[in-house]
Amino acid sequence: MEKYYSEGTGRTPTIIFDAQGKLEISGRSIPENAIAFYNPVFEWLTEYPKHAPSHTEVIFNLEYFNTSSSKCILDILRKLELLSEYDKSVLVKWHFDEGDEDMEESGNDFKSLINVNIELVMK
Amino acid sequence: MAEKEDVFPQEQQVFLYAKKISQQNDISPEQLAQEYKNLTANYEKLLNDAKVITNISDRLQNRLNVANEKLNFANENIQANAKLIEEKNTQLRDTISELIQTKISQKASTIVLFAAIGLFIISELFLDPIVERYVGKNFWLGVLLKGSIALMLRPIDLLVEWYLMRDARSRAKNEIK
Repeated sequence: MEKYYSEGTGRTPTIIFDAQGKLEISGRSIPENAIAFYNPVFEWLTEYPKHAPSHTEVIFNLEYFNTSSSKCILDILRKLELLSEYDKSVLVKWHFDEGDEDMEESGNDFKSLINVNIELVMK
Repeated sequence: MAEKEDVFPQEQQVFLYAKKISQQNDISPEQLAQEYKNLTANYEKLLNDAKVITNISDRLQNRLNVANEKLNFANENIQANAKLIEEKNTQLRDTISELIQTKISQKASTIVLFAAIGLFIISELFLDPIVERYVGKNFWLGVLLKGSIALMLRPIDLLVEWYLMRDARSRAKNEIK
């Protein structure tokens, strides 16, 4: 399976999915058309469980994201839930800056909704 | 600008499917119960998503509001500082102008002093003998002549000052250019 890479801009995050069990989304996510931006990511993640190693670590290191992106993040996490159907484990590390309560609470919100191991990591 | 795509494509599909089922008359009660169960599960998922997204959206709005308030405060500070700078600038310009005026007045006074000395010497050496020759030794005429010369000093002073000020303004304009 090919690596997926998307260079970050002032409005979109850097995405590095290497198919070797390391996935990272970092930066700012305020694209004008969130679904158009995240669609290739969803397609890649739909294929990923079949090719994934036994353990996957996903890093979310977001500075800021808009409402549409929050829906896309939920959909990404839902795609990661499917890894368990293939008997593969996944750990999501949700990074947030010290004192950034909003980002911490967002991590907790996702944690309460998604059946995936989410660890909150203070930077 | 390209049309914005829907961020709820799956939910839209669920809705359209449920709508189609609701319009079917030949559906069995067992299948209807199963479809209703599926719809409830999807509705629960959507409701939970909506709660989380609303929470996140509220926090984002709050964050933007805080940032906006900070920006407004900073803007007010910048405007107040700009006003203060403008006032100080006016004061500085006035002070510089007064300083130039004082310097020019001093310069003009010095020039007029030398002019007065010159006029005194000219009066004593050349004008007095001429006046004496034509009108004789008349004390009051001498006083009148010297008084007239003395009265000429003030217009000379004003003229010199005006000339020096014009020169200074012209130099200042060139410096600004």
